[in-house]
Amino acid sequence: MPEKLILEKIQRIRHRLNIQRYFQTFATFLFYGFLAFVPLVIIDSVTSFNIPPLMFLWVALGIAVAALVFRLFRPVSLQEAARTIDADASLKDRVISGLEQIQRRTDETLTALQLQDTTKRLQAVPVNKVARYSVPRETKFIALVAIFLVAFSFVEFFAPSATSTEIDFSPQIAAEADTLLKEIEEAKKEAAQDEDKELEELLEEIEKRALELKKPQIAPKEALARMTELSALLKTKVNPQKMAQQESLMSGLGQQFIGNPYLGEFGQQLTRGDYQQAAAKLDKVTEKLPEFDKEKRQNISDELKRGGKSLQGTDLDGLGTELSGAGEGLANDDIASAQTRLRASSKKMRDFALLKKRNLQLAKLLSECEACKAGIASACQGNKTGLTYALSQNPTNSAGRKTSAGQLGPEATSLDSTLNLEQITGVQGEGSSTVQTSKTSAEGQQSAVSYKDAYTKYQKLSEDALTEEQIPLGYKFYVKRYFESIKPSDE
Amino acid sequence: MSEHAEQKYEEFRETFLKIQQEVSKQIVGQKEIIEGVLICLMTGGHALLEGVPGLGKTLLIRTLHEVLDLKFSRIQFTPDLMPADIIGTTVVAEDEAGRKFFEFQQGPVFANLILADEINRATPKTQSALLEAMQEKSVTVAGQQRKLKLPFFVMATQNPLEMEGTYPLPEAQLDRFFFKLKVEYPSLDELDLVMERTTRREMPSVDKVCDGTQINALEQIVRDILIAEDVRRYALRIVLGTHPEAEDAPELTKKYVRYGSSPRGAQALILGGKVRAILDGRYNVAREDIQAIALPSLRHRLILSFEGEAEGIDPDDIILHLLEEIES
Repeated sequence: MPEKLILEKIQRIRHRLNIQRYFQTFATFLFYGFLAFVPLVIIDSVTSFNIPPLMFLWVALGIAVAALVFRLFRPVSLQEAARTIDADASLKDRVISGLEQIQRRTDETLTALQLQDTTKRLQAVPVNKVARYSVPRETKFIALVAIFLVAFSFVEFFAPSATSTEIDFSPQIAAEADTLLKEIEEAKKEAAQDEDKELEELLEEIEKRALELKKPQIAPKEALARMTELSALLKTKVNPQKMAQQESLMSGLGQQFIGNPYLGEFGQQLTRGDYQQAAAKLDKVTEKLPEFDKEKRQNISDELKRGGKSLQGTDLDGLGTELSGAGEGLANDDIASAQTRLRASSKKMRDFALLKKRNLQLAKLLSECEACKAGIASACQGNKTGLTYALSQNPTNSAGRKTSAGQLGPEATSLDSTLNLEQITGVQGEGSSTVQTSKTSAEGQQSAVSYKDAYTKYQKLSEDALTEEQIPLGYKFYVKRYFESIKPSDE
Repeated sequence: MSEHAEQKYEEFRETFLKIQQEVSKQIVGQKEIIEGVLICLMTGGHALLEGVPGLGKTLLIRTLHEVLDLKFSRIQFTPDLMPADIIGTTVVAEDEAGRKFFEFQQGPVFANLILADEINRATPKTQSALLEAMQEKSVTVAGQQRKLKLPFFVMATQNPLEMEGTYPLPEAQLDRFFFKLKVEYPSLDELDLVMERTTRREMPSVDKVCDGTQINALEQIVRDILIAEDVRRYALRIVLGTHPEAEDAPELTKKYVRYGSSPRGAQALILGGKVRAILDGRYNVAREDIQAIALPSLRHRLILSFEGEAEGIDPDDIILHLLEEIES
C-alpha cells in the first residue's frame, strides 16, 4: 500500500515537472534564438543586406519547437522526480530511497519502516509546493529582445539611406515611369496578338519592375539604380548585332532567288526583310510543286540547294539544311519530302520574323528606358537648382539697403523686371555653313570585344574599387547588385 | 518485527543522546566533537583529535570512560616510548614450584577505551604499533595473536604539526582513524563556563549510561540503515573528487592534492551518515548526512602536493570546494 501511494505521488509530480520543463525549454530556446539574431539584425540594419523582416521570429520559433520536440522525447524520469521532491520538500532523500526500495523489492528489515516513514512525510507535501507552475524567467527578456529586433528589422538606423526624402522627386519619377509603362502596355498588346508567350512573360517582369518606380517617396538614387537594373535586363535580351547579321544573311539569300522565275517573289520579300510574306510566298511555291514539270522542279532544286549551301556554317544553318534538303528531294523526284522540308523552312522564317519583331520591341523599350533614366536624372538636377534659388527667397529686412557707418539707408529700391522668352525662327541664308559628319561603326557589325570579356574587366575594376576606396556600405550593395544583374550567362 | 526494529532505533537514539548529555556535563561546548567521537564509537572506528593543549581532549575520553563503564587506559606518547610499552611484552616469571616460564604482560592497549595522548610526540615506529590493534582489533606478540576486547576504541590526540618535537603520523596510521576532529578554542561564554566548573571544589559528576555489551549491540544495528544508490554514488563521487588523477576532480584538487582519500574514506562517509540518519529519526542516509561528515571523514586522508604544502592550503578548503562543485 505505501508503495502504491509513493509511486502515485511521484507520478503526479513528475507529470507537473514535465509540463513545467516543456514551458521552460520553449522559453529558453526562443530567448536564445532571438538573442542569436541580435547581431545579424544590427548588421542588416547598418548595411542594407535586407534580411526579410520577422525572419528571426520564424527561425527562433523553429528552434524552440525543435527543442520542445526533443524534450517531449526525453521526459523527466521517476528518479529525477523523486530527487526533486526530496530537494524541494526537504525530505532528506527519503523519496529516492523509498523509490529504490520499491523498485528493488527488497525484504530488508528496515524497508517497511522506511516506506511507512516516506509515505507519512510525502502525504504531507502538497503537489503544487514541489512542482509549482511558474512563468519561465526568460519570458520578460524575450519581449525586450523581440521589441529590439522588430525595431532594427524595420528601421535602417545607420545605413546611408538609399531612400533619402529630403526632397520628394517621386512625382517626376512616376511621370517617367508612366511613359515607360505606356510603351510596355503597347508591347504587351502586340505580343498578345502575336501569341508570343515568352515576350509576354518578359514584359510582365519589366512592367513589375517599372511599377516599383511609382513607389511613394522613392529616392532618385534608388530610381536610377532600378532603371539601370532594368536596362541591364533588357540588354541581356536584345542582341541587335546578331539580328543584323542574320538579316544580312536572309537578304543575301533573297538576292540569290530574285532572278528565279519561281522563287523570285520569295527572294524579293526576303530582300525587303518581310519574312512573314516571304514565308507565305514560299508556301505558295510549295503547294504548286506537284504541278511543275521535271525541268522546272530541277530549276527550283538547283536554286534551293545553292541557297541552302550559302547558309551552311552560319547562324541560319538550320534553315540552310532545310532548303538544301528540299532541293535534294526535288532532285530525287521526292516531292512530298521536298514539300515537308519547304514547310519547315517557312516555319523557321515565321519564327525569325517573330524574333525580329521581339528584338525590335525590346530595343524600343530599352531606348525608352534609357530616355526615362535620363529624364529622371535631369528632373532631379533641375529641382536641385530650384532649391538653391529658394534659399534666397527669404531676405532679411535690410536686404538691398545701403549701409554706412551702421546706419540703414532708405527703403530698398524695388526693381521690377519682366522676363520675356521669345522663340526666334529664321530661314537659312545663302552663306556658307560647316557640316561635320562623324562616322561610327555600323550598327550591324560585331563588337571587337566579347561581352563576357568586357564584363569581366569592369566587374574586376568595380571589385577593386569597392575594396580599396571608401564607399558607404549601402552603396556597395547597389554596385554589387548591378554587376550581378548584367552578368553574362554561361551559354 | 518492524515495531521491534523501530524500538531498537529509538533506543539507539536515546542512548546516544544520553551519553552526549552526560559528557556535556563535564565538557563545555564542543558539541560537534562529542558527536564525532560518539559516531566513531558507534561504528567501531577510532577518532583523532587535533588541537592545542588544554582544550579538554583528555577530559573528554576520561568522561566517556566514566559514562560507558568500560576499561580505560591512557598512553602518553613521548619520543622514548617503545612499541612494547603499548602492546605488552613477555617477561620471565616464576611459579610456586620455582619453575621459570615466559609470561605475557599485557600493555595498555588491552582496554576498551584507549587514550593515545599526544600521539605525534612518539616516533613513527611506536605510532605504528597501534596499526594492527586499530584495524584488526588484535595484537601479535612473539608470534601469538591476541584478541582485544570489544568495544575497542582509540582516541588519539595530537598537537598541531607546527609544534616542536612532533612526528607526523604515517599515512597508513592516519587512514585508520575514522574521523579527524579539530578541537577549536572555546568562545568567551564557553570559556567562562569552563572556568566556573573547573575552579570549584567539586566537579560535576556523571552517570553511567551503558556498558560494552550494549555498545556492541548498537554498533550492529547502524549497518542496517538503508542508503539509496543515488546517495551512495554521491558519497563515492566526493571521494573520487579528492583524487587529482580523476577526470571530474576540481581544479583545486588537481593543483594541491598528491593523493586522495582511500576507500576507507568512503566507508567513513557512509557509516557516519548512517549514524546521523538514526539520530535524525530516519531509516535512510541523506546527502546532507554525507555533507555534514565530509570534513572529519576526509581531511586526514588527503595528502597535499608540494604546492599545497608550500601555499599552506588547508585540506578542509579543498573538501568544501569539492562539495560545492559536485552536484548533489
